[in-house]
Amino acid sequence: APTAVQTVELMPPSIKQRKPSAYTWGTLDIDDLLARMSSEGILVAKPEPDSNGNCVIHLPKEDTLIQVEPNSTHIFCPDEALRSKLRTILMRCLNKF
Amino acid sequence: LVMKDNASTMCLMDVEQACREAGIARHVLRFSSTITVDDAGPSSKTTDKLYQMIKSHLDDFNVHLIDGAINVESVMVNVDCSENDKKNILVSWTNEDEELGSFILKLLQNMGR
Repeated sequence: APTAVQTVELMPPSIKQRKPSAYTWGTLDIDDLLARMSSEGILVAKPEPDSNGNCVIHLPKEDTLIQVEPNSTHIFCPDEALRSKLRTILMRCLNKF
Repeated sequence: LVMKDNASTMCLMDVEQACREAGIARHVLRFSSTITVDDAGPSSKTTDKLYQMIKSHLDDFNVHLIDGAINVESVMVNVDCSENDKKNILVSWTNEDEELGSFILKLLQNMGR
């Protein structure tokens, strides 16, 4: 059960500074994303694009879903190591400032 | 810090406004992860416990509890009732709050251990 008293987590000082690593902009190139995921050994089911420029990428084995829209990408991922890997890949695919 | 009018003026503005003025289309990355916990009782009671716990660890932040959801900057925490007193806790955050979001996720994953 959630009990606050048993939890001892120390907040890294960098969180307090709230300095974002980077702001991302532009549209995600799905083919580029899939190629980079493939080169990292991440296998995906067939992407499901729709006519509005959205695309859903499902990783059934990892129970992970990537919803891509023209101005946003939402990653539902229960595995922290995989999420971190996907984040790195996505940051490489997008423009940053 | 933004330079305007051929660098003749400088001003501070938030990133959304700066992007609008510069015609840059932001691409928002959001991450979501779900944790399942055993906690009997209504979801609102679990939410209250999580709210108190998050608040106690984040003195320097404004932690809000609005309509059953906990918000800290772009981080959102929602509790859903599953079955047999199990609760699904959805933690979601944008890339700009990566450190804060992953800290809260880790905090909730480790609670009670």
